[in-house]
Amino acid sequence: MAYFVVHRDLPGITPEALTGAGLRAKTCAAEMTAEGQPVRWLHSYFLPETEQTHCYFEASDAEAVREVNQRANIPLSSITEVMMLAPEAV
Amino acid sequence: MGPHEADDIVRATQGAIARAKRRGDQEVTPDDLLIGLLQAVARFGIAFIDPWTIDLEALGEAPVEEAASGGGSKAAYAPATAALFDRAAGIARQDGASKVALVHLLVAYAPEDNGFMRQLKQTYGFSATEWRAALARWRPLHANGIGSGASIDAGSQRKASVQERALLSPDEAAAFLGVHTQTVRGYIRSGKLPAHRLAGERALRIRREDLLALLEPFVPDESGSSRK
Repeated sequence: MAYFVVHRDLPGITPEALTGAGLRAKTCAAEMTAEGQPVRWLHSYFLPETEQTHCYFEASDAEAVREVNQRANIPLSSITEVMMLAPEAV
Repeated sequence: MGPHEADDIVRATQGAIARAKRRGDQEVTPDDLLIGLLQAVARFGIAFIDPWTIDLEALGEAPVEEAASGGGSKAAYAPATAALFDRAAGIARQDGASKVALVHLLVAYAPEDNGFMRQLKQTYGFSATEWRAALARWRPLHANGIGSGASIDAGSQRKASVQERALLSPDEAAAFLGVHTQTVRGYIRSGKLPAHRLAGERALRIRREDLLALLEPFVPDESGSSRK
Protein backbone atom coordinates (compact mmCIF):
# COMPACT_ATOMS: atom_id res chain seq x y z
CA MET A 1 0.00 0.00 0.00
CA ALA A 2 1.11 3.52 -0.73
CA TYR A 3 0.08 7.02 0.31
CA PHE A 4 -1.25 9.71 -1.97
CA VAL A 5 -2.24 13.33 -1.65
CA VAL A 6 -5.13 14.65 -3.69
CA HIS A 7 -5.10 18.37 -4.40
CA ARG A 8 -8.35 20.12 -5.07
CA ASP A 9 -9.29 23.68 -5.87
CA LEU A 10 -12.71 24.32 -4.48
CA PRO A 11 -13.57 28.01 -4.82
CA GLY A 12 -16.68 28.96 -2.86
CA ILE A 13 -16.89 25.61 -1.09
CA THR A 14 -19.09 25.55 2.03
CA PRO A 15 -18.39 23.58 5.21
CA GLU A 16 -21.50 21.50 4.43
CA ALA A 17 -20.17 20.57 1.02
CA LEU A 18 -16.82 19.59 2.53
CA THR A 19 -18.54 17.34 5.05
CA GLY A 20 -20.82 15.88 2.39
CA ALA A 21 -17.82 15.13 0.20
CA GLY A 22 -16.02 13.51 3.12
CA LEU A 23 -18.98 11.23 3.77
CA ARG A 24 -19.11 10.27 0.12
CA ALA A 25 -15.36 9.54 0.06
CA LYS A 26 -15.66 7.41 3.15
CA THR A 27 -18.59 5.36 1.88
CA CYS A 28 -17.06 4.87 -1.56
CA ALA A 29 -13.77 3.77 -0.02
CA ALA A 30 -15.71 1.23 2.07
CA GLU A 31 -17.44 -0.01 -1.07
CA MET A 32 -14.20 -0.38 -3.05
CA THR A 33 -12.54 -2.14 -0.15
CA ALA A 34 -15.50 -4.55 0.03
CA GLU A 35 -15.05 -5.16 -3.70
CA GLY A 36 -11.46 -6.20 -3.07
CA GLN A 37 -9.76 -2.96 -4.08
CA PRO A 38 -8.63 -1.53 -0.75
CA VAL A 39 -8.52 2.22 -0.48
CA ARG A 40 -8.75 4.34 2.63
CA TRP A 41 -9.30 8.04 3.13
CA LEU A 42 -6.95 9.04 5.92
CA HIS A 43 -7.59 12.72 6.48
CA SER A 44 -7.83 16.06 4.75
CA TYR A 45 -6.75 19.62 5.29
CA PHE A 46 -8.73 22.56 4.02
CA LEU A 47 -6.76 25.74 3.35
CA PRO A 48 -9.26 28.58 3.73
CA GLU A 49 -6.95 31.22 2.30
CA THR A 50 -6.57 29.48 -1.04
CA GLU A 51 -9.80 27.41 -0.94
CA GLN A 52 -7.83 24.26 -1.61
CA THR A 53 -7.92 20.91 0.08
CA HIS A 54 -5.19 18.36 0.51
CA CYS A 55 -6.67 14.91 1.03
CA TYR A 56 -4.57 11.94 2.03
CA PHE A 57 -5.39 8.42 0.93
CA GLU A 58 -3.88 5.01 1.38
CA ALA A 59 -4.28 2.72 -1.64
CA SER A 60 -2.49 0.23 -3.84
CA ASP A 61 -2.07 2.73 -6.66
CA ALA A 62 -3.04 6.18 -7.87
CA GLU A 63 -5.74 4.71 -10.08
CA ALA A 64 -7.65 3.45 -7.05
CA VAL A 65 -7.45 6.94 -5.55
CA ARG A 66 -8.73 8.45 -8.79
CA GLU A 67 -11.57 5.98 -8.86
CA VAL A 68 -12.72 6.53 -5.30
CA ASN A 69 -12.89 10.27 -5.96
CA GLN A 70 -14.73 9.76 -9.21
CA ARG A 71 -17.26 7.46 -7.49
CA ALA A 72 -17.67 9.98 -4.68
CA ASN A 73 -18.25 12.72 -7.23
CA ILE A 74 -15.54 15.01 -5.85
CA PRO A 75 -13.48 17.04 -8.32
CA LEU A 76 -9.70 16.94 -8.08
CA SER A 77 -6.74 18.72 -9.62
CA SER A 78 -3.95 16.19 -9.07
CA ILE A 79 -2.95 12.96 -7.37
CA THR A 80 0.62 12.65 -6.10
CA GLU A 81 2.30 9.82 -4.26
CA VAL A 82 3.71 10.93 -0.92
CA MET A 83 6.05 9.59 1.67
CA MET A 84 4.53 9.84 5.11
CA LEU A 85 6.70 11.14 7.92
CA ALA A 86 5.67 11.30 11.54
CA PRO A 87 7.55 12.37 14.66
CA GLU A 88 7.25 8.94 16.24
CA ALA A 89 8.91 7.33 13.21
CA VAL A 90 12.04 9.48 13.03
CA MET B 1 -25.70 8.54 19.10
CA GLY B 2 -22.32 6.97 18.87
CA PRO B 3 -19.99 5.20 16.56
CA HIS B 4 -22.70 2.87 15.23
CA GLU B 5 -24.43 5.60 13.31
CA ALA B 6 -21.57 6.13 10.91
CA ASP B 7 -21.53 2.39 10.25
CA ASP B 8 -25.25 2.57 9.53
CA ILE B 9 -24.51 5.04 6.76
CA VAL B 10 -21.81 2.83 5.27
CA ARG B 11 -24.23 -0.11 5.33
CA ALA B 12 -26.94 2.01 3.77
CA THR B 13 -24.69 3.28 1.00
CA GLN B 14 -23.47 -0.23 0.25
CA GLY B 15 -27.10 -1.25 -0.19
CA ALA B 16 -27.66 1.79 -2.40
CA ILE B 17 -24.63 1.02 -4.54
CA ALA B 18 -25.63 -2.64 -4.79
CA ARG B 19 -29.05 -1.54 -6.04
CA ALA B 20 -27.48 0.60 -8.76
CA LYS B 21 -25.21 -2.27 -9.80
CA ARG B 22 -28.08 -4.72 -9.94
CA ARG B 23 -29.78 -2.38 -12.34
CA GLY B 24 -26.58 -2.35 -14.37
CA ASP B 25 -26.31 1.36 -13.80
CA GLN B 26 -23.07 3.28 -13.28
CA GLU B 27 -24.82 5.95 -11.26
CA VAL B 28 -26.13 5.75 -7.72
CA THR B 29 -29.33 7.75 -7.98
CA PRO B 30 -31.17 9.56 -5.17
CA ASP B 31 -33.69 6.69 -5.24
CA ASP B 32 -30.93 4.13 -4.71
CA LEU B 33 -29.69 6.06 -1.70
CA LEU B 34 -33.14 6.56 -0.17
CA ILE B 35 -33.99 2.89 -0.54
CA GLY B 36 -30.58 1.91 0.84
CA LEU B 37 -31.20 4.15 3.86
CA LEU B 38 -34.64 2.68 4.49
CA GLN B 39 -33.41 -0.87 4.03
CA ALA B 40 -30.61 -0.21 6.50
CA VAL B 41 -33.19 0.56 9.20
CA ALA B 42 -35.79 -1.97 8.07
CA ARG B 43 -36.61 -5.28 9.61
CA PHE B 44 -38.63 -7.93 7.79
CA GLY B 45 -38.93 -5.51 4.89
CA ILE B 46 -40.59 -2.85 7.05
CA ALA B 47 -39.10 0.55 7.79
CA PHE B 48 -41.09 1.79 10.76
CA ILE B 49 -41.01 5.55 10.78
CA ASP B 50 -43.84 6.36 13.13
CA PRO B 51 -46.66 6.92 12.19
CA TRP B 52 -45.92 5.17 8.90
CA THR B 53 -45.20 1.53 8.40
CA ILE B 54 -43.19 1.73 5.20
CA ASP B 55 -43.50 -1.65 3.55
CA LEU B 56 -40.49 -1.84 1.26
CA GLU B 57 -41.53 -5.24 -0.01
CA ALA B 58 -44.97 -4.00 -1.01
CA LEU B 59 -43.28 -1.09 -2.77
CA GLY B 60 -41.24 -3.58 -4.79
CA GLU B 61 -38.05 -3.11 -2.80
CA ALA B 62 -37.49 -6.47 -1.18
CA PRO B 63 -34.32 -6.64 0.89
CA VAL B 64 -31.29 -7.87 -0.97
CA GLU B 65 -29.61 -10.95 0.44
CA GLU B 66 -26.07 -9.95 -0.30
CA ALA B 67 -24.43 -6.91 -1.75
CA ALA B 68 -23.83 -8.52 -5.12
CA SER B 69 -20.30 -8.28 -6.43
CA GLY B 70 -21.77 -6.67 -9.52
CA GLY B 71 -19.42 -8.52 -11.80
CA GLY B 72 -16.75 -5.86 -11.56
CA SER B 73 -19.13 -3.01 -12.31
CA LYS B 74 -18.60 0.35 -10.68
CA ALA B 75 -21.13 2.88 -9.60
CA ALA B 76 -20.53 6.52 -8.75
CA TYR B 77 -22.82 8.91 -6.90
CA ALA B 78 -24.89 10.91 -9.35
CA PRO B 79 -24.61 14.71 -8.90
CA ALA B 80 -28.14 14.84 -7.46
CA THR B 81 -27.16 12.16 -4.94
CA ALA B 82 -23.98 14.03 -4.04
CA ALA B 83 -26.10 17.13 -3.40
CA LEU B 84 -28.20 15.18 -0.88
CA PHE B 85 -25.05 14.39 1.11
CA ASP B 86 -24.22 18.09 1.22
CA ARG B 87 -27.77 18.94 2.30
CA ALA B 88 -27.60 16.27 5.00
CA ALA B 89 -24.32 17.74 6.24
CA GLY B 90 -26.04 21.12 6.57
CA ILE B 91 -28.93 19.55 8.46
CA ALA B 92 -26.52 17.75 10.81
CA ARG B 93 -24.80 21.05 11.49
CA GLN B 94 -28.10 22.79 12.30
CA ASP B 95 -28.91 19.82 14.51
CA GLY B 96 -25.73 20.43 16.47
CA ALA B 97 -24.53 16.92 15.64
CA SER B 98 -20.83 16.22 15.48
CA LYS B 99 -21.37 13.75 12.64
CA VAL B 100 -23.82 13.23 9.84
CA ALA B 101 -26.20 10.46 10.90
CA LEU B 102 -28.53 8.35 8.83
CA VAL B 103 -31.50 10.38 10.05
CA HIS B 104 -29.96 13.56 8.61
CA LEU B 105 -29.82 11.95 5.19
CA LEU B 106 -33.46 10.91 5.53
CA VAL B 107 -34.42 14.47 6.50
CA ALA B 108 -32.54 15.74 3.44
CA TYR B 109 -35.16 13.99 1.29
CA ALA B 110 -38.07 16.01 2.77
CA PRO B 111 -38.35 18.52 -0.11
CA GLU B 112 -37.83 15.88 -2.82
CA ASP B 113 -40.86 15.41 -5.03
CA ASN B 114 -39.57 12.87 -7.51
CA GLY B 115 -39.08 9.16 -7.77
CA PHE B 116 -39.30 7.02 -4.67
CA MET B 117 -39.84 9.96 -2.31
CA ARG B 118 -42.81 11.03 -4.38
CA GLN B 119 -44.10 7.47 -4.25
CA LEU B 120 -43.73 7.43 -0.45
CA LYS B 121 -45.48 10.78 -0.10
CA GLN B 122 -48.36 9.57 -2.24
CA THR B 123 -48.64 6.11 -0.72
CA TYR B 124 -48.54 7.26 2.87
CA GLY B 125 -50.05 10.69 2.30
CA PHE B 126 -47.47 12.89 4.01
CA SER B 127 -45.96 16.29 3.31
CA ALA B 128 -42.35 17.44 3.59
CA THR B 129 -43.19 18.98 6.98
CA GLU B 130 -44.74 15.76 8.28
CA TRP B 131 -41.70 13.78 7.14
CA ARG B 132 -39.38 16.13 9.03
CA ALA B 133 -41.64 16.04 12.07
CA ALA B 134 -41.74 12.24 12.07
CA LEU B 135 -37.95 12.04 11.81
CA ALA B 136 -37.55 14.64 14.56
CA ARG B 137 -39.04 12.16 17.04
CA TRP B 138 -37.91 8.98 15.30
CA ARG B 139 -35.75 6.34 16.89
CA PRO B 140 -34.74 3.52 14.56
CA LEU B 141 -35.80 0.06 15.73
CA HIS B 142 -32.27 -0.97 14.92
CA ALA B 143 -30.99 1.33 17.59
CA ASN B 144 -32.23 -1.07 20.28
CA GLY B 145 -29.32 -1.49 22.58
CA ILE B 146 -27.43 1.36 20.98
CA GLY B 147 -27.30 4.30 23.31
CA SER B 148 -28.50 4.43 26.87
CA GLY B 149 -32.00 5.68 26.18
CA ALA B 150 -33.15 2.64 24.24
CA SER B 151 -35.65 1.31 26.78
CA ILE B 152 -37.13 4.73 27.46
CA ASP B 153 -37.50 5.32 23.75
CA ALA B 154 -39.33 2.04 23.33
CA GLY B 155 -41.84 3.18 25.95
CA SER B 156 -42.46 6.54 24.37
CA GLN B 157 -42.81 4.94 20.96
CA ARG B 158 -45.59 2.68 22.19
CA LYS B 159 -47.39 5.71 23.55
CA ALA B 160 -47.24 7.40 20.14
CA SER B 161 -51.04 6.93 20.11
CA VAL B 162 -53.67 9.45 19.17
CA GLN B 163 -51.39 12.48 19.37
CA GLU B 164 -49.30 11.31 16.45
CA ARG B 165 -51.23 8.85 14.33
CA ALA B 166 -52.23 9.87 10.82
CA LEU B 167 -55.53 7.94 10.94
CA LEU B 168 -58.14 8.33 13.64
CA SER B 169 -61.42 6.59 14.51
CA PRO B 170 -64.58 8.76 14.68
CA ASP B 171 -64.31 8.82 18.49
CA GLU B 172 -60.68 9.89 18.35
CA ALA B 173 -61.48 12.46 15.67
CA ALA B 174 -64.22 13.89 17.90
CA ALA B 175 -61.81 14.13 20.81
CA PHE B 176 -59.23 15.74 18.55
CA LEU B 177 -61.72 18.39 17.44
CA GLY B 178 -63.29 18.74 20.87
CA VAL B 179 -66.79 17.90 19.61
CA HIS B 180 -69.25 15.04 20.10
CA THR B 181 -68.82 11.84 18.09
CA GLN B 182 -72.27 12.39 16.57
CA THR B 183 -71.07 15.73 15.23
CA VAL B 184 -68.17 13.98 13.49
CA ARG B 185 -70.56 11.36 12.07
CA GLY B 186 -72.78 14.20 10.87
CA TYR B 187 -69.81 15.80 9.08
CA ILE B 188 -69.08 12.44 7.43
CA ARG B 189 -72.73 11.89 6.36
CA SER B 190 -72.99 15.37 4.90
CA GLY B 191 -69.77 14.90 2.94
CA LYS B 192 -68.05 17.68 4.81
CA LEU B 193 -65.45 15.29 6.21
CA PRO B 194 -63.92 12.51 4.06
CA ALA B 195 -63.75 9.15 5.80
CA HIS B 196 -62.39 5.79 4.74
CA ARG B 197 -63.28 2.20 5.47
CA LEU B 198 -60.57 -0.30 6.28
CA ALA B 199 -60.68 -2.87 3.49
CA GLY B 200 -63.51 -5.33 4.15
CA GLU B 201 -64.36 -3.89 7.56
CA ARG B 202 -66.95 -1.59 8.99
CA ALA B 203 -64.52 0.54 10.94
CA LEU B 204 -64.15 4.10 9.68
CA ARG B 205 -60.89 5.96 9.66
CA ILE B 206 -60.34 9.65 9.20
CA ARG B 207 -57.13 11.28 8.07
CA ARG B 208 -55.72 13.80 10.49
CA GLU B 209 -55.14 16.32 7.71
CA ASP B 210 -58.82 16.08 6.70
CA LEU B 211 -59.72 17.13 10.24
CA LEU B 212 -57.39 20.08 10.02
CA ALA B 213 -58.93 20.95 6.64
CA LEU B 214 -62.28 21.45 8.42
CA LEU B 215 -60.87 24.48 10.16
CA GLU B 216 -62.00 27.76 8.69
CA PRO B 217 -60.25 31.00 9.51
CA PHE B 218 -62.17 33.15 11.97
CA VAL B 219 -62.47 36.65 10.56
CA PRO B 220 -63.51 39.27 13.10
CA ASP B 221 -65.96 41.74 11.58
CA GLU B 222 -64.81 45.26 10.85
CA SER B 223 -66.75 46.99 13.61
CA GLY B 224 -64.59 45.10 16.06
CA SER B 225 -67.63 43.83 17.94
CA SER B 226 -68.36 40.16 18.25
CA ARG B 227 -71.89 40.55 16.90
CA LYS B 228 -73.05 41.25 13.39
